[in-house]
Amino acid sequence: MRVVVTGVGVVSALGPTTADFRQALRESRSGLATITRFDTDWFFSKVGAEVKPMSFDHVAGESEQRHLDNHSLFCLSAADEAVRQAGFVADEPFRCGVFLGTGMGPSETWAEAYRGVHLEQRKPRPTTVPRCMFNAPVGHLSIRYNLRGPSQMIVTACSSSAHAIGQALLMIRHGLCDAALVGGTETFPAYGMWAAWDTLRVMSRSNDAPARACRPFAKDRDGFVMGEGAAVMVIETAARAAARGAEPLAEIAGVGMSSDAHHITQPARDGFEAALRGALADAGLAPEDIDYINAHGTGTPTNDPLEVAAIRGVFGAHADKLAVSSTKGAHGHTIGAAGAMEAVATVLGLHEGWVPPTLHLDEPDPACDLDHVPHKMREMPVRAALSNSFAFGGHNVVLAFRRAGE
Amino acid sequence: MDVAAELCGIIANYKSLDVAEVTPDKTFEELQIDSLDAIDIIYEIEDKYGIDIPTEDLDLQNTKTINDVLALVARHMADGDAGRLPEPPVE
Repeated sequence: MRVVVTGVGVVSALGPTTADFRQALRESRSGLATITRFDTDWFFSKVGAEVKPMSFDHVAGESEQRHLDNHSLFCLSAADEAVRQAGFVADEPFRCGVFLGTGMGPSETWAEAYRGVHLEQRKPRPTTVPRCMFNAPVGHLSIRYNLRGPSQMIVTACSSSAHAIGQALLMIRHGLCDAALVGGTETFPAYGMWAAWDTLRVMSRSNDAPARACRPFAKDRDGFVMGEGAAVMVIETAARAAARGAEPLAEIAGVGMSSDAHHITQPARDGFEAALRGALADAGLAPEDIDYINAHGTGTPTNDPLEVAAIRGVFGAHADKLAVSSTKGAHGHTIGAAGAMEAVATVLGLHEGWVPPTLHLDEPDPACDLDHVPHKMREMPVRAALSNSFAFGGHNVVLAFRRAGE
Repeated sequence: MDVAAELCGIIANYKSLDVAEVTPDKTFEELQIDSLDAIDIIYEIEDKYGIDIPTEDLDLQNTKTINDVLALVARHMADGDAGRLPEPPVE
């Protein structure tokens, strides 16, 4: 059974729409900047990829917006775009599902509740509960689009939304639904949580050059840059898409999943490799069929060379023929939304025949010696592509996509 | 203090309605106030008047109009220090 993507939507630091996202990737624009949301004077890292203030009037009334964290609002906006593009209607509601991922959930709503109780002895309002549920965006998409098949929120840190997309693919193949909204959503960590990330010292400290703070595969990379946003796709069986005359943007061909069983924050090369091999096998693709990999490529000292080594381990001589870029230098690391956001970048490239660049890659790390598509996007036909997501906890997911009609 | 007018104001603001549309005889159903909205509005009212409406007094099944809310609020207006948590224990 073939499953295809028929619509995509993105809210990111690059702008409130997929058009903004696509254009910025094609023009090598970075959405990274000095954080404006809270005081960063006492932090090591002062750079983030924040979604600029945007209107949500197209997805929720004034009164409803008060009940929704940005966690849900970002997701509703991305879904609105994906559904419009796909021309999707849940005409058989119990055959349509929704699968999303998130990392840290609606952290600002949690923080507001704790601030009120601890600092002002003020009870949180009752709607704090439905507002701060990690699964709230899943519920809202289900209600909005009358999706009455299976619905899940998956929480596996940086692999959350890749897991969600993979889970949806498996559910569709297994016959539990024919179509699904899939993706992920993440808001910037609240002040207190940011402080914890800061002390973990995995975020870039390139505060003097914020736009280029995330430099995947570069010799002088010094950490990732936290981002936020949402990405949603409409996926459905190729038969369903064909029957209603919807144009497939790409086929979602397979998923590979593995766990490191090694360390709560340190990755393991053989875990990455197992997920890469799993995705190829599930999609029925040979290494030589792949033209592009959207790397996890966080820009941390640890991830990037290990990821390159894993790709070399799986692809052998073909590794040198691959284009392997990380788009995190543009949209930041959106944690629970990252897998879906990068899947959208991959799908756009497959559909239109280009691959996005790795920004700020002036001097590559000698241990990162693949074709990382530095600085500028490249027009090239892409037959099939992978999108990698690796997470704290040791959760690895690789999604395989094939050009529609390939 | 016209509590009825103030309640109508709170509800109009909450539901983003024109205040002229919200009169004390309006039902929650007419104003499209569901039980989640209702409990949230009660929270705002408790906060505004510094009252604490005990759960056993809060019969949402039979609270159908703004006038019902008004009666509920009036019964508790004498209470003082509600909507606040007890002082934390001094160590």
